[in-house]
Amino acid sequence: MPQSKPHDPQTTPDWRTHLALALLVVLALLGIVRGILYYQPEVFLKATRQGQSLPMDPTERVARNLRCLDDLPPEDEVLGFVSDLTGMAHTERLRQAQYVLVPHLLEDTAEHRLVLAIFSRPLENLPPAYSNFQIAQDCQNGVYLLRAPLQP
Amino acid sequence: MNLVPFTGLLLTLLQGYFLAALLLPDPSPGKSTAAPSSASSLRWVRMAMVMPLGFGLTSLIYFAWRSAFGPVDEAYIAFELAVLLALMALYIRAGLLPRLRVPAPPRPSRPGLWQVLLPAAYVLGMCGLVGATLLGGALFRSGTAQAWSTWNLGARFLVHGGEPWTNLFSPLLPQPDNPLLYSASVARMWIFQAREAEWAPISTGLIYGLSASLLVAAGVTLRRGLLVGCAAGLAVLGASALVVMAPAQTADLLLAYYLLAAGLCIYLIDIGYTNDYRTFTLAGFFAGLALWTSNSAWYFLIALVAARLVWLRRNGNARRALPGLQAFLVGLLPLVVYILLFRLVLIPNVPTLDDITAFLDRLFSLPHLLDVSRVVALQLVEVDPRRAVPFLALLVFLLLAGLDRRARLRLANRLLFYLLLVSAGFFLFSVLVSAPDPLVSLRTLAARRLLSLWPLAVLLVFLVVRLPGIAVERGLPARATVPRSERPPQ
Repeated sequence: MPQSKPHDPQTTPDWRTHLALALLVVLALLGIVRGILYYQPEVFLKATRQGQSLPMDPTERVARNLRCLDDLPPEDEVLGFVSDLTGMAHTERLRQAQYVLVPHLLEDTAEHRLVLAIFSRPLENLPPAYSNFQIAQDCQNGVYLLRAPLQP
Repeated sequence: MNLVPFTGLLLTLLQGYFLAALLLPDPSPGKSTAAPSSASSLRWVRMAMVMPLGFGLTSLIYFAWRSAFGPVDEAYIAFELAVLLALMALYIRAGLLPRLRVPAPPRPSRPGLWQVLLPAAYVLGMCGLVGATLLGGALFRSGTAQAWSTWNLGARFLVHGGEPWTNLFSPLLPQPDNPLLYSASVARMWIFQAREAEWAPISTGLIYGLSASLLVAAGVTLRRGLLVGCAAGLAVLGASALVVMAPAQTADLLLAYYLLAAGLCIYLIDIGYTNDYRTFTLAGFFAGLALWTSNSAWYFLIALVAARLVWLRRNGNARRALPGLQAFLVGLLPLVVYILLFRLVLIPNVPTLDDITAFLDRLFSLPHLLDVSRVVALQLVEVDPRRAVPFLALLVFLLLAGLDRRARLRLANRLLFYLLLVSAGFFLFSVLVSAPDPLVSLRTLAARRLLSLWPLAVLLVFLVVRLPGIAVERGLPARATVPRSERPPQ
């Protein structure tokens, strides 16, 4: 009968080592799966299965809406920016428009010669705050390029 | 310019490879305490440094060219090729051409459970990171809000800016004083592709995520064997925040990588693996690249110096550390000068009295301090059961497995400990004094700072954890090593 090797605590994994490593492997793989789930694989799978195109990301939506703007001023002129959103949603829309309109600069104010206005839907009349502005361009999708009234 | 696809990546890879080989050569026989068996692990360390070094170098070259000569043209490509040839010539001159080696025959022994499971889980983890990146890249092609409001915005200004490209530094934009390693790298790849290729920013995050994991794995393998290395690499990927950030198209993973790489280079010297001063230079270069990635890396640089001073005060003679410090500065100072020039020449606004007052208000505001403490504590001990708790899990792992008795003697591990501790302090300080951005919550900021330190924390834990029968001790001197240059005179 072969003689079994004596147990050497320095070279043989003990139960603590087994348990710690098992915990590590399980938690790490769970963490990775959680990271994958964050990106909603079900949306991707559904679109692929139904042969649909993937949903647009926010900047792509804004880029599509701003595509009609072909009468922008020279690049060194800063454009004003207004929207009907408030708070963080307004800031987000401003930054998305800024990303699309590089190298133009947008400033979060209506006090410029030309002002980019992004509203949630097309309007029949401009809101009272901008009623004295002229519409330089109307994209028919809620995006307007407004021209400030002439200063006396 | 319409070049062959991926030319930009190929040039990055080649420049990074030659630079890594020049600054981290194999240790000369007799000059290192490392066992010959760990030489292959050093090759993996070098491999994990190739792409981040290449991205760093090419972004510096590209941005300098863009600032000095305007939009890039064929002359720029010629210049990059000239840099590549120069690096190649230095590489050949240094006699670093790889020699054909006959691989050692495989051991006939039957592999145990962990010998199969740990490498397999690590490979699975890397596949998971690739999968998450592809998925995130497919659904969020412009990345997160941080990506399109800051990092990719910078890249678009560099590519489409024309003459007024310096609008990039306008105070109308969020964080106009951000360093540009990420943005310049992405812009450079877009130029090589002649379009805004979506894969460019997405692959950048993936490359840095994989490189950070591989660097930790290879660094741990150097000292503790392949199995512990695989476990460490897996642990790096196990933080779901890292998997989520890979396709996010922000600079957070880049910063995490450079902090890790700078710490690891100094560690390699302190464990006596090499006493080649080029490794100090490489550490300085990595610290400089961290500064070129994010302003918060200045906190890390202060932490690195502070940790080093504490370590030297306890264990060595500061005067003897001078050559190492000089070599470190050789790597660091050119980048510091570059970044200072960038800030002084291109960023017009200097801090005003209002900015300084706001900074002091945040610093001494008790409600703000309490708010930050609460957010950071929540981030560390997340109550939501769906969220992973990486730092806590790492601590539980360490407590469960126990601390290696010999680890207490390893002074170099203490250096990493000091570095981690001081960095954490400075990083939390940076959260405390950060100017509020409506699109970045304090919670997100705290999570990003913690993510930056995550690979370094994993490296430290896996160098000291007790794993009998799994860990092997490689290249260890008889007792803890103080580099020859820093030993006190007898």
